[in-house]
Amino acid sequence: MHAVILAAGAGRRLWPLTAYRPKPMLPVAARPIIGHVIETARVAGVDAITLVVGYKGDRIRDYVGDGARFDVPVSYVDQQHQLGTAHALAQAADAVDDVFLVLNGDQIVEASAIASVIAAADQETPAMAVTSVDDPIAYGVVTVTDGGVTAIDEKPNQTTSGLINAGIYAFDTTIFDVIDGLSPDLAGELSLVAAIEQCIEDAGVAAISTSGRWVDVTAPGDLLTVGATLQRDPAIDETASVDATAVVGPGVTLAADVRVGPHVVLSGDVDVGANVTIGPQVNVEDSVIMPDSHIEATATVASSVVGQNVRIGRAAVAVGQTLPETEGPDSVVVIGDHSQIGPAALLEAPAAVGVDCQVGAGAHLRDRVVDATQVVSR
Amino acid sequence: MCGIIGYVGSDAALPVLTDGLDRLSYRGYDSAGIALLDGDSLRQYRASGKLDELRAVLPETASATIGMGHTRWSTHGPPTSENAHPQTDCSGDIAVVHNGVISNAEELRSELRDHMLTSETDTELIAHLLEDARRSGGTAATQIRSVVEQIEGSYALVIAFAGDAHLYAVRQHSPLVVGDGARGRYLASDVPAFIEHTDAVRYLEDGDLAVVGEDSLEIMNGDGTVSRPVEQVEWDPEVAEKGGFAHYMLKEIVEQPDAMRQSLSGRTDPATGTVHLEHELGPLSGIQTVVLIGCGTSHYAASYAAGVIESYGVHAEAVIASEYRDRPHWDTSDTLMIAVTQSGETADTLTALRAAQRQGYRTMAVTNTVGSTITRLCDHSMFIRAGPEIGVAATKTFSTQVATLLLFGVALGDARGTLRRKARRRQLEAIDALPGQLQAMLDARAVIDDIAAMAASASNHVFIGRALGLPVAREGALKLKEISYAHAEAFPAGELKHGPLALVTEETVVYALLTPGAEPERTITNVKEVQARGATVVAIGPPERWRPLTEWGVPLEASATTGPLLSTLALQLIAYDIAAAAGRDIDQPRNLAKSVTVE
Repeated sequence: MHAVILAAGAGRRLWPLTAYRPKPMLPVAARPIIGHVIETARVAGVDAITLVVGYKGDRIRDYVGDGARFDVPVSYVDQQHQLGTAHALAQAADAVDDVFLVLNGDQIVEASAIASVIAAADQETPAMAVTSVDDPIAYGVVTVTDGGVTAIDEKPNQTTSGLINAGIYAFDTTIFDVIDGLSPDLAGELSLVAAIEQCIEDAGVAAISTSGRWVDVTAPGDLLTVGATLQRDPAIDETASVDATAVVGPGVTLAADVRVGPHVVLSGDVDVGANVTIGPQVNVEDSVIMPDSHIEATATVASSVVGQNVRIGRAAVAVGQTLPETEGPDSVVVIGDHSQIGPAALLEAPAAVGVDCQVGAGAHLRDRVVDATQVVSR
Repeated sequence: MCGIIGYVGSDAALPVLTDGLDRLSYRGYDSAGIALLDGDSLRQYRASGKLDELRAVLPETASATIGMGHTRWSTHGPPTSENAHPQTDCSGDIAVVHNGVISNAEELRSELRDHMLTSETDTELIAHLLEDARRSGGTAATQIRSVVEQIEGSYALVIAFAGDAHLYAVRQHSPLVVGDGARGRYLASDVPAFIEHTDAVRYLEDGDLAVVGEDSLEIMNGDGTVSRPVEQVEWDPEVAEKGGFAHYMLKEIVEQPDAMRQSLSGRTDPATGTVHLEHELGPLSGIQTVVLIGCGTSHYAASYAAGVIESYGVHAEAVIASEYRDRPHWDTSDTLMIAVTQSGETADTLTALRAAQRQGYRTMAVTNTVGSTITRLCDHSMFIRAGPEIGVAATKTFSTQVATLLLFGVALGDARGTLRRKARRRQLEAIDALPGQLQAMLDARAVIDDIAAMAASASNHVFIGRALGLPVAREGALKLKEISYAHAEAFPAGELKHGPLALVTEETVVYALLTPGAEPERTITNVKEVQARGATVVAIGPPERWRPLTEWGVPLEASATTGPLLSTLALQLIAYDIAAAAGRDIDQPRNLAKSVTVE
């Protein structure tokens, strides 16, 4: 079955990590989210994919290419202006015919969930996957009656249903007429939820109950917890070089060409991207380090998300709070792409450094630093 | 350059040939043709222009399971359908496709006065010579052998005879490969033509004559039969696809961080300041001088590297391949000749390299193409590992050629003892940071796009730089002119006032390289010089350098070794944007070919 994957959004809540990449390109288990989504879709039986790209679409094109690395052909359509999820889907109108699947490019689901929507997709009515989560209030809560969706409530104040919209849909081409008939919402956008509400009024929408992993990254800190649930195989790439005196724990993932120096300790869930250099005696715990970054000797990085091409100077410290159960978005330290942290600087949660920043030697930060800022220590 | 595809097998040949021609189209061509061999019937289809023109004259299906196709880039005679290959003899029973140039064509043409010559090509002469040779009997192989003895020059030939279920292939100074597939055998000038069918490849050598049948392959050289080993090529056919980008060139620009990571992977140890090239090159002792030979973009990469290697304490110079002269310049005992060529098939570079070999120099190739002619010619090879590059305008192969040569330079400085450990570490750290910095440049794309939009309407583009900024200025001007057809020139910044300043008007955009390594403090005077004449200045470098001078700046912080190199990416994107806005055929610019295999 053909799937349309929506991957055009900017993901602004994930600043500064989305300043230079769209949300689907955030790494989870040392691989972009979109890679997990495409892989899962293929396993579930999707045999052709159209990606709707917009914000920083070249990043996705460069990574996914024509889909050969995932063994499924991928084509692209552009959403030039981000005017909502239904508007994004409408861009793919010429790419699909008959019945097709719609997935979110930034949510990782179980292949079985996609497969059950495919199985239900022959029917006359649109179908939509629902799943139950512990904290439904943060998501789109769905009311189901007799196997049909009767209401979707985006981020309600309270709820009686534990079911949420799992972001997997099956439509036929009549959905494009429905979208044509929508009026923009207050934000000027056409949302897929509004389209589905219209479908509920027209012919009804089948609710497909699914279970298993359902992962959405809504804040930088989620990258730490989400990565832990997905193991990469092999965890240590064969081109990574690890000094014999370094200690690498079982939850560590090292991508291609990573260099780990002498007496380094990597513990907890650590995702290290391609071509990262970790200098002697560095400590890294429960963190994500994106490609091409360099952590210099004796620095410490814990509960932090380090962007791409970041340099963390000698003896610098970046520590988030390690409260695994209550870990919220502000308990981690985030450093944006291409920023430089000077020697012996101290970054404590909820410090968030934007992209292209320069933090001077010995600076002490606990706040947000906007993009392209120079921070001089007093 | 011209491309050849041939097929002998059990499937219908036509789709194999048209797909193969599609995959060869990146080499650049202005006419194309196909011959299909079905028993006694040998049919030709030819057209000038793009492959769509050929498709218009091709049948939709054909039962033939043997055939050959050709994309031609005009050298002898204009791109007409008469001059397209295959070329045939008077009877139409012998068809020939040919890459290369026959140097004694005029002489042969006068000998063939009693034949009906219908084209201006040197290739047609071969078909008629074969027609004569056939009258004297013998096997097809001996007939071909006798014709090959009469012709001089460079050639890769594939020949078909009506009523003979084989293709015959001859190679002399022009690449030709044979692929062994499950559904038949393939012949091509370049592996990508049939890589979707098989990755088992034999490279023919000069003087080889291959008789290719569905179930048989015989290769002869001189009087005897020879065997050429089967090599597995590692190119993923899909890697050579555009993958969602509007042009290959843009894809190749955007994938530079990856290409650079791949190029550097496993070669350096920044902690100890060592470069691991021993298993690729062996010991580097006894080299006092390196001479880098190349053309076009490869020459600019070589010039850049020569500048850096010189600073590592090793004498280095870059020579344009077609300007290489046989007279002795350097000491053969301690000079290494390095041929820099993306394709490994650049005729000018091969010629210069052969001349250097005759003089007795040691040789090394720096190329992107494993198994290419240059690698078989040189004593050593270093691969830039950039992956296939399809766009005619070189982009990722420039940056990876430079990076590969810099690594070689560090290894050489180490071997000679002129580059101390601390300096090596600093150099390798700078080189190692290239992938991330390339990504940072790509992330600054919005700034670059704005500059391109401003510059698109200029009538004149002038690129200035000093030191390492000069080869980058030249590369920037080359990129812009080759894909946008705009007038673009590069000058050493200090030379402006000695003449080129006369070109500068209010319609001119001047691109100034102001990164470390390009002597920015001295170039600033030149920026003011052109601004006084009303030119708009685009600057690349640290913002504090250009902010007082111009609003059109690309921010770039980098080392003196890598700053100018990283600037290239911005110039590539500006060239791309300007050409795209003008609607140019970016991947196949007019009059140009990817790999120039004629001198």
